[in-house]
Amino acid sequence: MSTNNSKKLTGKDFINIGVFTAIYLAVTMVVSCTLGMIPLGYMALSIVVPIIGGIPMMLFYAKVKKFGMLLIFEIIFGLVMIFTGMGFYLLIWGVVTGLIAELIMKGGKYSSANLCVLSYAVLSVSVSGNYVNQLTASSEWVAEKATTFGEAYMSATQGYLSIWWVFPLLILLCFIGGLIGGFLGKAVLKKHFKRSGLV
Amino acid sequence: MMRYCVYGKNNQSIKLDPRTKLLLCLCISVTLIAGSSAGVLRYLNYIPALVPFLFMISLKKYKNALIYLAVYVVCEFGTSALVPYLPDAVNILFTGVIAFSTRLIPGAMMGWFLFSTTTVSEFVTAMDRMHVTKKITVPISVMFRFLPTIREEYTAVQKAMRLREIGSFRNPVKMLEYRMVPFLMSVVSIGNDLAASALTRGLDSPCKRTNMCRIGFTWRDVVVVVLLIIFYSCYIPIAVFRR
Repeated sequence: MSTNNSKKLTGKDFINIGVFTAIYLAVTMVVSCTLGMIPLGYMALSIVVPIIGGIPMMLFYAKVKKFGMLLIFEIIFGLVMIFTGMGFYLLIWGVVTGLIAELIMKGGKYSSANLCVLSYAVLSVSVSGNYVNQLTASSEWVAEKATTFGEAYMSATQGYLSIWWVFPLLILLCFIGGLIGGFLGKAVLKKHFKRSGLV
Repeated sequence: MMRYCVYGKNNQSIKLDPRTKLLLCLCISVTLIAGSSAGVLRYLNYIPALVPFLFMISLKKYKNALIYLAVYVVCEFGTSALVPYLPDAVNILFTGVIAFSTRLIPGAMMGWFLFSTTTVSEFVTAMDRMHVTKKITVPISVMFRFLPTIREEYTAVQKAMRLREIGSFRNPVKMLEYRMVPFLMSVVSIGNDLAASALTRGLDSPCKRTNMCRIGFTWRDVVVVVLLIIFYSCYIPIAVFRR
């Protein structure tokens, strides 16, 4: 293919985006279905999902050489979240973090491995977009449900979110999880995929 | 990626335009997630929850429909009946999640319905008609083509690793590495094959894509849209004037 040098996205890039969105979606779904059942685990998702997603995402980053791939990735991920009923905040967060991540990658001319990790950490912050749903709905939701479900559960999940420093902490946790996942992914990439010639 | 419609599922009992199905999906998930469930609205919320059930019946998937109904009913009514009798520890662990899932399951089932009754070709065509760019439609269709593959590959890797007795929860890092790496290897190479095959069939060509699908709005779509309008003309005034 002689189009490899051009700046425009080609069909191969679109297919790569689709493949890695599917993988990331599967990882997110599996982790959140197992861990998200417990209130504290639900909070811990913000750090666990970026760590486990780090390995496939670093492989994806090895293929990102053009502007727009991360943004499309986040848009599609957000759209899927809407259609599976997770609310529309993730799309907004995804577009913002996707743009910042793109700019970081562009700054490194899509070749610096450390900037890949930083960019992935920024991208991971979009995971916390799922909590906005509860943050905004919390007061009304608590008032409605507290009578039926008892104060105990409410103080377990809604309570966390109503403390002012918890949401920034979640964002920070996502970022740290992204950094850990990114370095993990980078190590795995070096150990396995480079050696086998996959990248 | 492009499954042609020659063998399309034309024998299904309710054939809606993919765009109508998308609209339904969006309405159900937005209503249940962002909407309120106070007072009368709680009963109105049963209507969007019933829609996936009806569609599953129309597909003659009676077993799935019954399971869905049972899960929904247990989540909606069972929890509020049980909660007062359970200890707080159990309540903390499960009840809230179950209650929240009554808002998620209908949307998820509707999404499942959308993608199980729409071929990729139909979906792409409908998106083309809505002037959505190829940048969005191609990755989405690849993604939905890929989800079953991912499951298949992962089960294969899991079986192989179990045979080698690697990867119990005692050593999570090792488990992650020994499952993720072979899994990614196979999935990425499948993706490369897919890309090669799609490019051979002219994915990159600048021409407009042609297809053999019959897509268009029929009286069924009109009925669905009219029902939606009626539903929202009840729902929105109640939601607004209750404040």
